[in-house]
Amino acid sequence: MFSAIYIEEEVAQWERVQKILASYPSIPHIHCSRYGEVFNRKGQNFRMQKSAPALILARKHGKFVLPSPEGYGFDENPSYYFSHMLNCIYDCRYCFLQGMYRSANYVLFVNYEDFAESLADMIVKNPGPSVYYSGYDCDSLALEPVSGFCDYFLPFFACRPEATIEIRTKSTQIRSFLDREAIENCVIAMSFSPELQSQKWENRVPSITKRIDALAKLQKAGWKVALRFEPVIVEEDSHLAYKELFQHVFSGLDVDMLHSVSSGVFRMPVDFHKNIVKQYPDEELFSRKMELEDGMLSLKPIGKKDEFEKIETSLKSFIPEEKFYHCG
Amino acid sequence: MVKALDAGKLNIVVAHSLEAKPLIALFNLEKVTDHTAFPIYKNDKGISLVLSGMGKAAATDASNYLGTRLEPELISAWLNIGIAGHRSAAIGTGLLASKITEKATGDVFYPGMLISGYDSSPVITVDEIEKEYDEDVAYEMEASGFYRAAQALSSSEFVQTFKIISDNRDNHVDQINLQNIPGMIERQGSRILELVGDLLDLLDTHNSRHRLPKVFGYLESAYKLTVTQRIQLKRHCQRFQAQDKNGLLEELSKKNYHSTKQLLSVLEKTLD
Ligand code: SF4
Repeated sequence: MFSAIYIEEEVAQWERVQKILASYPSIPHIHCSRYGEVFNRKGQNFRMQKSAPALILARKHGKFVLPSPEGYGFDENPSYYFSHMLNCIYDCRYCFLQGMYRSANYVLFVNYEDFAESLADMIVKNPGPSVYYSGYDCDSLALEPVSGFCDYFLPFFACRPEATIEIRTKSTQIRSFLDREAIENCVIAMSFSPELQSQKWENRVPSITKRIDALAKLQKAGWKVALRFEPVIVEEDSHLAYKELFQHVFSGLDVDMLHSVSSGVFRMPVDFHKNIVKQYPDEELFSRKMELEDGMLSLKPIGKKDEFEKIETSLKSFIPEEKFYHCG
Repeated sequence: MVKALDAGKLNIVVAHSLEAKPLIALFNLEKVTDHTAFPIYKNDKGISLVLSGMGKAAATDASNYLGTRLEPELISAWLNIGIAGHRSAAIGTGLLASKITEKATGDVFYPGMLISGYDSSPVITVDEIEKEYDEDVAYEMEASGFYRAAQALSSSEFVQTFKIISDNRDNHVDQINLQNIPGMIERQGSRILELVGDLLDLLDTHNSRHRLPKVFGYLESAYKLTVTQRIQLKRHCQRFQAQDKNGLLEELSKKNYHSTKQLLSVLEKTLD
């Protein structure tokens, strides 16, 4: 699963680390002083590393919980994000992480206790409802068997009902949820793209059907699930592909029980795009014409101008209006 | 007799002629006849070997020297091969460096770990021959200097260091018979061939993704380009290729444009 494991000296003897290392005895275990030495160094190739990433076990120092980016999220309450991991086991071609990081190696911050302390402080500072997103810099669930993220953080949020955790994912690793009582203040948000786009760009991601099945199981077990139709990449007659996707997704789920449904177009900071083009000069998606607005690039829509509106209109026809929000 | 001084697809940096000798035979390398600051050997398969001399500074200089002869646009792979001491590893063992620490400065380098199936070890580059074997790592004198230069010329995934253990606590460095060194390296020959094969596979994967359509070379020479225009032309050509429109690009390249600006504008407009 990993080509090697890098271990910060500081955490090398920690129980959580020792447990992970014991599961991978036959790959190189390499010590480093700070994870940035490996992760942020110059002269590495994200795309090549993606074929066999290493795992880096590290301790995060500060900035555990950050305000969520504008337009991210489903309600008006104060919202934050936290990242116990950097990078993702999947390989979506449109993913902005490819342009954000120099390395495709996975960083797992193992000092969960420090995250918990910061989260607890933030929850106290926001006496009303507040939202905490996990899965901005990674897919939180995909590496669950290694990270034990849910086993640690779900009980934490279970005791703090005023704070909601949203776990954004494309993973079907749901055992940690099914093995425990559902909690009201946890939302599992799954992202979807139409079948053809998924096949083309969402490498290693579980199939749409498998993801719907996982969500259905979660709903049955009482967990709140949400749907994220992002990033929408508008192509000729995309609304038809989306309509098919909506039919597939909504026929497999209890629409009334859905927490929320959102959609948003593909957008990316200019610098990230530049970095990605360097790595993927041969990728058709990034060879398309782009439009620049406020430092963000989006794809020039192929086909009719109102294609995205048609997609959203179609989406709204499947769900009650109040469950929908537009992202971005 | 090979005459061209261009660096190869894979460049091997070796400190000592005793280490180089079996590699020259293994890869059928021939000495480049022109005068060079460092002896360079090559074959017609794109493999070059440079003899650096002992020590990390020499390894840096020799790598940089070969680096000035790289083919533009495409990346090369780099491999440092040599003997090393180790506290516990058996004599003759071949080890890929998983981490290189320069003892004098504390500088650390992490070779990419994409190549699997090889035993690996941290390496410490020392200025004086290591006689105590304090840590359970490989001790040698060139890797950090090599890595510092080669990484700047390539990318860490394509830069590797392979050490063959010549001495350890039970077979002390003072007792090394230099005449045994070629044999030690020769016995790792098949492993070295595999490693070179793996590195070249990785490199081909990378370079095939970055290869420009042939038309680029023609347009580059047919039009006067500023640095920015060259970058734009390169990107346009990449985009045509990504959109599977090399045929169209070729057709467009045959037309006459009154300026580079017009050429670039036509290409841009034609793309989706
Ligand atoms: S699942 Fe999300 S985080 Fe992972 S590669 Fe795809 S877009 Fe990126």
